[in-house]
Amino acid sequence: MRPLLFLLPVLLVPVLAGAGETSAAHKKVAAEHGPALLQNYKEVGSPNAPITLEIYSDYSCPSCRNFYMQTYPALISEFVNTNRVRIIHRDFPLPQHPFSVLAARYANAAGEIGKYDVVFMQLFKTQPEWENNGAIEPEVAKVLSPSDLAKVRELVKVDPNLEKTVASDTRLANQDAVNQTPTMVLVRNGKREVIAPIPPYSVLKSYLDSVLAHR
Amino acid sequence: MNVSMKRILFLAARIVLGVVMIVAAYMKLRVSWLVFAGSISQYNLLPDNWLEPVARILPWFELALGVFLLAGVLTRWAGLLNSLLLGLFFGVMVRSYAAGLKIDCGCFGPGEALGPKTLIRDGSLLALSIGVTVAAFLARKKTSRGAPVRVGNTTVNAL
Repeated sequence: MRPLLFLLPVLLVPVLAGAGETSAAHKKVAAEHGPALLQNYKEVGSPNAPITLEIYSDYSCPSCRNFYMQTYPALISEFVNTNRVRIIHRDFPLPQHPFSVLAARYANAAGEIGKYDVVFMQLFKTQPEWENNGAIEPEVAKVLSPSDLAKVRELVKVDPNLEKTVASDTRLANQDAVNQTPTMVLVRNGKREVIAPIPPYSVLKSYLDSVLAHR
Repeated sequence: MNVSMKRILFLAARIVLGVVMIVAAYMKLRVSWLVFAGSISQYNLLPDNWLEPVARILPWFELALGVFLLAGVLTRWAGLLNSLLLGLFFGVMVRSYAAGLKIDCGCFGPGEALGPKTLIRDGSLLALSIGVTVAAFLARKKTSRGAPVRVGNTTVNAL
């Protein structure tokens, strides 16, 4: 038994070193950004909005790109900015897309330094450039300063929270029986309504208007 | 095949078709119309301002056809409309599948991808519906040509 005790430090060193590295990266980011180290970077809009839309998406999915390029900006300007709707982004990387998880790591790492919006939109915008070769970082570099990019790169390498975020979203997706992207879950009065496929904006607007009028 | 066997087959086909239409309608009506509007929009056939009225009305139309078929009321016309509707669905599905669209079928509510399985199923339903319609029209034709019709306890020749 005693020889095994000598082995314990050998086994623990890599684990502790990894934890130290992660915590150092976090501390560095937290020190430089202070309150900008956001916990709820995936949420947009007022927490008191009567409707919450949870959107499950995959960064490599073309329909998600269409949604974020066409429908999302209108939703933000007409419903989120008027405090009627809150949006929560959720990751649901599909197994057939090899670089979706990596893209989600970049977006979530950017979220940890307060740059989620700009990076996730850039990832959808430039999807055709990286979806086949996984060259995500050059696209992210176009919208971040060199120092922010360095922080994001560091977090992508070492931060285990990024995986937890994706795993937590995927767990929720399974509870909602999500089987395609994008999928929208409309939450109001504690009830969850799964909407997939998501219709065009004009139809969605008509539905949201009628729900808001009858609440 | 004797007459009673034909009648049994016709009755069974009518009931199957009626139940399928009612189930298809129920699966769409149990979720909000927005979900069905999303499914229809993926076929890229209708302008956006048609999606809401079609998504709201079509499931009720399917339900009415199913009820008529199941009850055996206005069977010829319900069968004819049903065949036209299923023919339209089938044509649209074949066109979309041939165009390589990876979309939701929308046939029995959300969550079913358009593929060979859905095409075979809808094609079979269309064939069944056409069969029921033709049988209903033929039965009517025979009756109106003078086949005996039972009225109360007596059998009389129809005019």
